[in-house]
Amino acid sequence: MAQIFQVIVNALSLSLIYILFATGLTLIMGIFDVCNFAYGEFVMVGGIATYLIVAKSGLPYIVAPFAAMIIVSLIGIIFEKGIFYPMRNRGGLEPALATFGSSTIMQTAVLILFGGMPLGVPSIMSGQFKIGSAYFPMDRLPIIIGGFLMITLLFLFVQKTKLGLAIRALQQDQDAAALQGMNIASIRVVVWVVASCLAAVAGVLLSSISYVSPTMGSGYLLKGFAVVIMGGLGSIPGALVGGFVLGFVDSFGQTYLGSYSYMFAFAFIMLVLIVRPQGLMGKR
Amino acid sequence: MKKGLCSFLILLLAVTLLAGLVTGCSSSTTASKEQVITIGVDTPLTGGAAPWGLSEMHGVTLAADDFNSAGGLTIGDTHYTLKVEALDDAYDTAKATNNINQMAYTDGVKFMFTFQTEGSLALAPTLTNMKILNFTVVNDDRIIAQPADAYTYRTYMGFSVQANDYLAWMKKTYPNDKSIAVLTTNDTNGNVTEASTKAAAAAAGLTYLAPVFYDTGTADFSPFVTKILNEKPDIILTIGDPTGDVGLIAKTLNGMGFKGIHATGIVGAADLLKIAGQAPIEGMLTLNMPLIPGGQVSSAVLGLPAREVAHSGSAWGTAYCCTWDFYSEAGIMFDAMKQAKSVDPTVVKAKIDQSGAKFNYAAINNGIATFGSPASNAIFGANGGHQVTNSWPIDIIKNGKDTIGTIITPK
Repeated sequence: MAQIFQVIVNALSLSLIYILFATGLTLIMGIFDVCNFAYGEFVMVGGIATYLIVAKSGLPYIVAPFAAMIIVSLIGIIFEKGIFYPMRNRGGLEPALATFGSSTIMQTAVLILFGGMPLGVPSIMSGQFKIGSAYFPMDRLPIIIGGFLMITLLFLFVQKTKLGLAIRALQQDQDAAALQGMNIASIRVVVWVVASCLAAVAGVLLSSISYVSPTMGSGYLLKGFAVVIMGGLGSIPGALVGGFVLGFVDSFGQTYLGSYSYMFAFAFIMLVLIVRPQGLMGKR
Repeated sequence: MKKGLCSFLILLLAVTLLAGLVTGCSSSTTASKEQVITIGVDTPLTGGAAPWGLSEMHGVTLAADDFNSAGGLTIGDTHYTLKVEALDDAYDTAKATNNINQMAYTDGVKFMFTFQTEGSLALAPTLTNMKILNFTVVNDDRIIAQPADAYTYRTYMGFSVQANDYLAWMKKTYPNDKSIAVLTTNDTNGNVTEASTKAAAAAAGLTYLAPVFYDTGTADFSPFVTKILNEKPDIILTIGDPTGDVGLIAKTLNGMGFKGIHATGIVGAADLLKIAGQAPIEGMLTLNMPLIPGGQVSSAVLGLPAREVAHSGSAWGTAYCCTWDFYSEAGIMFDAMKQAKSVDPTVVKAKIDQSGAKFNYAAINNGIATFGSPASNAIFGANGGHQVTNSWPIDIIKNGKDTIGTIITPK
C-alpha cells in the first residue's frame, strides 16, 4: 500500500511535467500545423535560466520562473518572426526542418557557453514527510503545485479571455478569423509566448529535481509528442488527459516492470490509437 | 694587384670554410628529426558521464605534457613528443564507434584510450588487426577475453576484480548492514556490474536482493528508487552509473528517506555536491581518490587540480574528480614507451607483455602497476596479463568532501 502511494506521488509529478511539455507543443501544432522539434531546447533554456539565477547568482527561486518565461518567450518570438511567419505558406516540412536545425544550434550554443558538465540546481524544497510507511519527497511538491497552477492559468486564459477566444478561433479556421478582422500576426505571437511560458516553467520545475544539460529537453520531446498524439493533435484537454495517462503508465511501469516500461508505455499508446485513431480527445 | 687578389681569395676561402663549418653544424642539428605522436582519446565530453570524460581528457593531456617537458623520447635521430586528440562520444555507442574508426582509419592514431563499453568491445578486434595499442576502462570482462595477442589492455581495475575486496570491506566496516541491491543502467556495463556484485555478495556473506535496471537518459529516478527501496536493502550500489545519474539517485534516495549506505564507483564528491547538495551524499562510499596531502597520494596527482584550472582552453578551467586516475593510466602507457624505447605499438606491447615488467603508477608514492596478478590471472586465466593491477582507494564522503576509507593493495 505504501508503495502504491509512493508510485502515485511519482506519477503525479511526472504527469504534470509531461502536461506542461505537451500543452505547449500541442498549441503550436494545433495553430501552425507544424512540429516544433526545438521545443525541448525551450525547456532547456528554462533550466539554464534557473541555473544562472538560483545556483550562480543566489537569487530566490521565485525569480526563476518569471525570468525564464521572459527569456524563452523572446526566443519563441524570434522563432515566429524568423522561421514560422516567413514560411507560413510553405507547408509543414520546411518549418519543421528549420526547427530541427535550430534545436542543434541551441544545444551547441549552450555547450559552448556552459560546457558539457551536468549543471546542478538546488531543489526548491528538500526533505520529506512520512505518511504511514510511505515518504512524500518535498521536492515534488513545487512540481505538483506549479504544474496545477500553470494548467489552471492556461485553462482560464484560453476559455475566459478574448485573446483565448481568438486563439481558439485561429485553431479552427485562420482564414475565417482573418475575415472577422482579427490581427492574425499578433495572435500568432501570443500563441508563441504562451507555449514558451509553459516550456520555461517546465524547465524551471524539471531542473529542480534533475540537472541541467544541453540535451535535457530532447529526452522529453518524444514523450511530449506521444502525449500530443495520444490526446489528439492540437487539443489542450487531450494533452491534459494524455499527460496524466502517460505519467501514470510510465510511473507504474517503471516501478513494476523496470526499464521495460518504455515498451509498455508505447504499446499502450498504440492500443489507444487503434481504438481511437483521432486520440483520446481529438475530433475526427 | 696579384697580392690583393690572393688576399681576397684567401679571405673568400676562409669565409667559405667558416660558412661550411656553420652550415655543417646546423645541418647536423636539423638531421635530428622532430615527430609528434598523436594519442587518441574517445570519451564522453558531454552529458551525464562528462565528469569522467573531461577527467580523462585532462588526465591524458597532462600526462602527455609531463612526458614532453621531461624531454619526450629520442630514438636514433628522431625526437618524439606527444599530442592528444580527444573526441566526444556522449557515452553513446554509435558516436564511440564512429570516433574510434575515425582515429584509426582517418587520423592514423597508433595509441588510443577508449571508454564506451559497446564501442570498445566492437572495435577491439579491428584495433588488434591494425596494431593500435588501446588502453580502456571498460567494465565488461569480454574486453579482456580477446585473443592473447590482442592490443587492448584494461588499465582500470574492472569491477569484477574490485568487487570482492569492495564488498568484503563494507561487510567488515558496517557489520550491521546485511543486504545489498544494485541500481544500474540497462546496458552491458550495468549487467556486468550486477553479475560481479552478485558473486561478490555471496563471497562476503551479504544477502543479495533483486537488481533494478534503468535506461540511460533517465531524468526522474523516483519510480526506480521506489522499487529498490521496497526491497529494504541496507546497501544500494550504483557502481558504473554515470556521475549525473548517481547524483540524481542520491537526491531521490534522500527524498524518500533512505538511511542505509549508498556505494558507487569513481565519482567525485565535488561533482555530486553540485548535483545533489550535501545532505544526500553524506556517508556515501566511492572509489575516488581524495587528493589530501600527507598520505600515500603522490605529489604529482596532488598538483593536478591546480594545473587543470590554470590550463588554457575551453574544456579546462575546472578540476574534475578522476583526473588523477586517467593521468596515472596514461602514465603507464608513456612509461611503457620509454622503457621499450619505441613508439611502435607492437614493440611497446611486447614490453607490456614481458614477464615481470613494472610501470610507474603515478597516483601513489612509489606506485607500481603491473599487468597480470594472481587475482586477475585467477579470473581471466591466460588473458590475465591484459588486466592492470595497482592499488585503489575506497572513499567515504564526509562534510561534502572525499576522505580516504582505505587503500586496497591487491595481492
